[in-house]
Amino acid sequence: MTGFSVVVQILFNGIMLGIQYTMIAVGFTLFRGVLNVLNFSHGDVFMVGAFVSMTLISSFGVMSAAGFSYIGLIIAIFILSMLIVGIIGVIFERLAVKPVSKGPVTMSLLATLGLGIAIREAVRLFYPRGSESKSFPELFHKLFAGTKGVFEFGGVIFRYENILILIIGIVVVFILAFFINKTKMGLAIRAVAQDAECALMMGVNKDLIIDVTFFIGSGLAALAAILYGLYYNTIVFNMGALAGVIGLSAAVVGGLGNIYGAIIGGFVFSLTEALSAAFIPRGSEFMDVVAFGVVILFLIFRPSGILGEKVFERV
Amino acid sequence: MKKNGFFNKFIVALVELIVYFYLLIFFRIESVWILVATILILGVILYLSRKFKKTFDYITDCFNKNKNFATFFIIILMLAFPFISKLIVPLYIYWLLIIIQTFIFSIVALGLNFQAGTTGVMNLSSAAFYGVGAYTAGYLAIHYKLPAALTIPIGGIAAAIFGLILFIPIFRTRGQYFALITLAFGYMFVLSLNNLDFVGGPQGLKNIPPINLFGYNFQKAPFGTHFYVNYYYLAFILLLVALLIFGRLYNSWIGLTLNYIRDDEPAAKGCGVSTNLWKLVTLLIGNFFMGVGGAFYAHMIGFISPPNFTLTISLLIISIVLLGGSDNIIGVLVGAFILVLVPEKLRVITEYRVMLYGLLIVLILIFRPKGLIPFKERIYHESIAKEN
Repeated sequence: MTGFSVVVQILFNGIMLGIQYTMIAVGFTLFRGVLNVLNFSHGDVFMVGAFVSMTLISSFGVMSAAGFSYIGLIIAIFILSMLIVGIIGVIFERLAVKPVSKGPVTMSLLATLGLGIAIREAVRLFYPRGSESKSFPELFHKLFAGTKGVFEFGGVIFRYENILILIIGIVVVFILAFFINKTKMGLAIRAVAQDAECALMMGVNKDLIIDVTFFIGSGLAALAAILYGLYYNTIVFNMGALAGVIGLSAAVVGGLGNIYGAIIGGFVFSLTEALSAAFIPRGSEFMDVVAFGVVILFLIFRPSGILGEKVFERV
Repeated sequence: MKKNGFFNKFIVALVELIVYFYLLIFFRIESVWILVATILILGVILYLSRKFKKTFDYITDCFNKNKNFATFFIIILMLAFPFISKLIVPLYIYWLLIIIQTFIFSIVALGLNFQAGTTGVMNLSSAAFYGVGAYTAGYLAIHYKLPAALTIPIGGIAAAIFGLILFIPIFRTRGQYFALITLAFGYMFVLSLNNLDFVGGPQGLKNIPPINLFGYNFQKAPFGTHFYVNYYYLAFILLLVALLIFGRLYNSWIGLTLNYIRDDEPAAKGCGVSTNLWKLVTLLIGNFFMGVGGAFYAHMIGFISPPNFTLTISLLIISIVLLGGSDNIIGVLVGAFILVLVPEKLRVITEYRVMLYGLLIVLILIFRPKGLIPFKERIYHESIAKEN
């Protein structure tokens, strides 16, 4: 492989990761907007999403017996997992996140960390053999059954499956951006994020908006989890911890409270990881260390992130 | 009530003795039912304290008036603990080890309480600093054969200096952003430990030599007991030193300044308090004690590895602080006893332990955000206290 193709391969891997990080980061950004909480349990909701979708895909046989076509099944699995995880996310929000969000910010952060640990351990203990890492079943393999499954471009090997994952991710992120910026519900979410009291006075049902936001955020996390499972082929009960911190870091780097910021942050984080894995000696072991180092630098020198507004100190 | 000094002291001693022997019985009875019984008894006491408010006020008054005597008596009781427990508890060696761990976690949690409770610097990487102390002490003891009298303080100092990495973040960020930085920092620490070969990578450090203080070998069992007794006394002394220092700091103008920074940082700045300097001081002092706790742990257990210093441990330490009541030194001790001792009784459900920690944090923060023993308003003069 030439130097150029190596770089392309690295960048492609970075982008693949970046789209997953983005979808997690979007959740953090949305929650922070409507509730003023850094919701750390989000990473574990992502993990729950992976387990839910795995269970659904494993029940493929049952569902195809019910008369679904293959494409229909794939779509059904995507929609069902997003629905289920979205509802799970709303339940967690009702039970734990909203009650603590009234207290000091650091306390709510701590509470969501505790909630995340509880979710993680619950999956480990109560999912059948949950403490082992599971192999995520293939989903798209029949789509490319006739082909080799890969194609080569400029010395770089791309898998069709990964291209499809990337396309799904990009499309969903654009749909989300459209929803937030152009629809009435999106306007309401932005209104609550900007000034909750004023939004209430304008007739916005704040509790409903919070529920909707958590539904969307958690559903996106489920989608990210499916893409993650298809990309890495293994999932494990504690994958949410790191994914959550990465997602939050990405959201912060991009600028909390800004959807496009989450997108940019996701790619900044993933490309930092990919590049440090490639160019720093023993970088693959230290790539997360480098990436977190970058996040810390961002927090220190530009705490509002790349796209965020300047934060003023309120007295 | 009459100022009958002797009678008051007697009551204080009696209450402490009852609690002390109840603890021994708690250790002696193997079954989980003792825990249920304890919860029931606590419930009854809570009920009685509502019903006979005057008697209870009188007892608390006794404690308030005889603080020195109460402390003195508890110290005597705890000093005698290894020998009395040997008579009563068959498995006393095991419980001694658990109590030493409680002491260690109390020291670490006191350090965190000083940062998170008193100053409001939410440090989510306390396990990392605890780990720095442990690794420094272990490394120095293995490779340079330094005695424990040096490695334990050096472990503390190393943790404090390591904390200086956070000095720019602490100047420039606050609240949740600082918490986020420390969280990332804790992850970086464990990831690095796993990949650095000179500290053993995932295998950690093995065969850390036991403590040998001024020629006295801690592996020797004194008076026909067990060698843990040595560690028990050293841990107890360290805890007393930590309590003394943090108690003095809290009750001084320094503690007041730090409370001011926690409650209203811009106002504190406006009054000429150098908030950055004080936050740095808090970080250094708190980390020092975390490091000391870690160094002691490394010497006692003799083996440390990265899983001992993950976010879960940080959360355990934080839940100790929160459960007892943040910014409350007695509360930290209570929290440490509950969160380190009780799970040992619950060995049947030891699998569920971490999940329960998580749930516990959430439940405390929803229903009792100030902890079991909430901190009291500072009282500077009795006349002010009477007005309120």
